[in-house]
Amino acid sequence: MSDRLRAMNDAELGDALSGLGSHIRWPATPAVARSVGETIRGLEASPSLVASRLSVPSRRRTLIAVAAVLLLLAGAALATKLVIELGAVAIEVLPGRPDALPSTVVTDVPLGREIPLARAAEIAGFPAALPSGVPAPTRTWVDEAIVDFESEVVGRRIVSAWPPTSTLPRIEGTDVGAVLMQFEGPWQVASKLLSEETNDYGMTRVSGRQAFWTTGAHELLLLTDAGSRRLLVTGNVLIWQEGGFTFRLETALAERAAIGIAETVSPSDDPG
Amino acid sequence: MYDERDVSDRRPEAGRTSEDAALAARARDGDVGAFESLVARHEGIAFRVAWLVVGDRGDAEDAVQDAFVKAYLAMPRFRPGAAFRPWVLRIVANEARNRRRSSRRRDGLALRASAEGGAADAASPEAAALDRTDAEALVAALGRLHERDRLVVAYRYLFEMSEAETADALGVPLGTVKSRLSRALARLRSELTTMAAPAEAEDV
Repeated sequence: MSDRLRAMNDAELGDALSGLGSHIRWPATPAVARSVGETIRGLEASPSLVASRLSVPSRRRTLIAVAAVLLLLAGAALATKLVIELGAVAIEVLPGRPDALPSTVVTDVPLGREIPLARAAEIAGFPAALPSGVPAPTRTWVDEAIVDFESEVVGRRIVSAWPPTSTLPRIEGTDVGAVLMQFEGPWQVASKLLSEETNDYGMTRVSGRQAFWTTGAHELLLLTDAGSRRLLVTGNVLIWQEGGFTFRLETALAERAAIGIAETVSPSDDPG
Repeated sequence: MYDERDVSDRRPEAGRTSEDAALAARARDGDVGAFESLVARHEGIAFRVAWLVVGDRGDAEDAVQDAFVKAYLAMPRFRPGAAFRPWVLRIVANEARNRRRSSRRRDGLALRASAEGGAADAASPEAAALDRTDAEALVAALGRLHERDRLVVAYRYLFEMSEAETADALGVPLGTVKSRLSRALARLRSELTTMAAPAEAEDV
């Protein structure tokens, strides 16, 4: 090799690289347009895929079906009073009190593959969007869930956790002060079951956008790479959407303080 | 079997993107045929991007297929007027990364120079000026880069995308493209030095 390459400055090396594509033995490009079209047409005959393209209640899909089965199994076949859909999270409010809540809190289980925060973008395919007013989280996980079994489309999420501090008080029953879930895409992969008598809930706003706020212990059903998990939520939860993501922030904070944190979360736009 | 097609799209960007935009608008409305046309227009560069990430032809083909299907599903979220190519390349690269993660492939790619190495590319007198040895060394060094560096170099130089389009494809601000490029070129030089060391030792 000549020393010429190593002696080049950025502009010269850039020039040398331009057009080098024709010097590379690229593997032959497969023609995929027709097979992609056929796959899509085949899938569009499937109600599940049609649902995934529509922003209508029919998009509730597998997860809600799972939740319904669990409810039936638990003998809690009560009529749902209210269903709220906010991106990746569906919220169902049941009349009365919950029969039995799960005993496992969110931070008791692996929330995916634990990774260094610095590698979140590389592994998840999108960067972790974090609040700017608090220190970096001490733990980060990436997980994915198949959101359409036929097309094997997966929805990914990054979960970040912060230890308790004076500004982020410990969430009851956990060893953390805050948990932020960042769900990719529009697919529903989480469902909350609230009870009319034991939970306070309502719509609110984060940066002018519609959001949801709830307090009181309740159940979170989370679709993961390893299947669905029923988890106990003891903190106060704020859910909102921004930049193609759905965010779920759990803290012991009051609504206004939680919204203050949420409004500093600014995701880069991502195509999913 | 090798592909010597030039996938850099040198048509005026405005013309290409307006054709893409018209097809994308129809695809958003559920016109699968229009989406197939978009796939056909971009499958070449998409496949090369996937291959640069996964380093395996079969995995790259699967990643591209899945990525395009996923892109179709995501069309309702595609902003009207946005450029389709960088948007879909982000999906392709993400899908390829996930495949590489699943297959636990190590980073690094066996890039090889063409047997006709040194053949002049009419659009690039600089590359034509490279002798065969330098071209082979540069291609090999590219293959040794981390995927992140390799992609930014490929987008900007091999595929001749503008800095703005490269930024869109990587999902980073324009300034980050400049800093990533600079770091990637520094690492490329470092790889060239590492590769030269054994040969130079033998020469002594």
